Amino acid sequence: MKKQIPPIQPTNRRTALATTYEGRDPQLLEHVLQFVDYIEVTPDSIAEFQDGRAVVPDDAIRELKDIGPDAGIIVHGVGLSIGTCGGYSETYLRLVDQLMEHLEVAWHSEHLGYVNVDGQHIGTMLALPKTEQVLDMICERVTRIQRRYPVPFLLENIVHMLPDFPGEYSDAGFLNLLASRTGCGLILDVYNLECDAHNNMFSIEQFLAELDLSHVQEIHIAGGVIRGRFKLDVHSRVTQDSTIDLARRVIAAAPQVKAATYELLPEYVPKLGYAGITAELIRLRKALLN
Amino acid sequence: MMDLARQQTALLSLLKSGQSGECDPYVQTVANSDHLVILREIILAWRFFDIRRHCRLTASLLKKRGNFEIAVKSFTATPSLSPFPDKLAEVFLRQMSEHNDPLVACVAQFELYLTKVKLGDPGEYTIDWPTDPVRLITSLTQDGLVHPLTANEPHRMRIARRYPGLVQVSPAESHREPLGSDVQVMTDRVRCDQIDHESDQPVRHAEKI
Repeated sequence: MKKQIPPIQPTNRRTALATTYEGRDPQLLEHVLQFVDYIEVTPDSIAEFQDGRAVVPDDAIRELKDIGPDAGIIVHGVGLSIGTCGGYSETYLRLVDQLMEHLEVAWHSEHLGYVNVDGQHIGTMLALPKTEQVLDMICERVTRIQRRYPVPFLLENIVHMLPDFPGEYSDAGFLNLLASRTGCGLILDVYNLECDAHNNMFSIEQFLAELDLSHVQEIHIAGGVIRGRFKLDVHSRVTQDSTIDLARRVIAAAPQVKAATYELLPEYVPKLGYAGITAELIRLRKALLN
Repeated sequence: MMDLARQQTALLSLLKSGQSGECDPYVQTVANSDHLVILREIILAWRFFDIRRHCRLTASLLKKRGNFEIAVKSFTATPSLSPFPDKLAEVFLRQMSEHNDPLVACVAQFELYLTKVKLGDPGEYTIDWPTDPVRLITSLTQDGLVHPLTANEPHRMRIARRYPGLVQVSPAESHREPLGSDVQVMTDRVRCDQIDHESDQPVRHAEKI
């Protein structure tokens, strides 16, 4: 018999609010710091090339250091490519090394997928086959990353942009085993679930009923666009009510959720404007954290 | 079932070219799906956006010339493109520096060299323009019209840390009277991370998909 997701119940547990910040926009930082508890930083986005190698520039590190007690720092990358058969990206991890060396990082997270193949960037992120072979490979890599950094490591469910490979596990079953075998936490991106439901007839109810929500430590929320028959994971808009409702349900049922993170690509900051972004953070704080 | 490495290589090939030599049933399913079509369009739309954002002037001129999409599509076929936007931009600007349109080539060189010098490159770079670069670049930064190329206005531009505003421009005949103040205004405006909010809104490009 399938487990049912409990209805929303009042909780005394404090979930924090976070949002993305990619540096070099002090006005944006000043605006969002009033409303968030954590700043989510993507190492790949703030990196620059110096002498032929990617580094986090000193001024970016200084800016993040200057946040001080106003907010915690979460490192959330896109370039690890933990699922690349030939190995994950050491270039990415060297950026994380730099951030870990200079900042108090609350936790580090990445996506359960891959962006590199045969030394080439594929221009997008693809989901992995949910097979025993892949599970073993990812568990071994997660363990190595956990040994490398003294902060929790979380992995996020990604959108399935291509038809799924018929593996041995369901999405939730794979995440359950990954988390229980390694002790890594999970980020549940509820907007990604909505994209999968829209694009692939994915059952969110079935997924949530099967997922061991005790592993979920962070929620991601965002708003995107629909083009043709596809809902796109572009983090370009304010959050839809349906996404907030889903996030509330998960937060209520997942006892370990530390933060809900509103993700907005820096490219879309001008579109929403500082006032629009702060209004969205106020709305989310009210909807999710009270 | 094919192994993971082979499957990933096949999917890479499908994303790059729309084709793969594999006859594996799963790869064939992907090859025949509308998911692949839309995903390839999304990847290209992000390339357009990255180039517009990080190579603002060159992208603006290419658009005005009607060559932007062709140039980026051709660039996308470059093997081993970097996932880092500024490295991607550098490679694009290097390619455009060889463009057969001399104006595009000059603007690409300008963005490439100015970025290098801003990042601390101690070198000095010279660009020989077929026209007045100050007027052209000011027009591009303001997203204004690009007047027809005047072939009789050759100018020499030098880019180095020792120049105020990093740039010095002189009419090619004399190279004696640098156009200092205008250039200062120009380089202040050319921040390679700037977005032209009127013409380069990312959502517009996503919405084209």
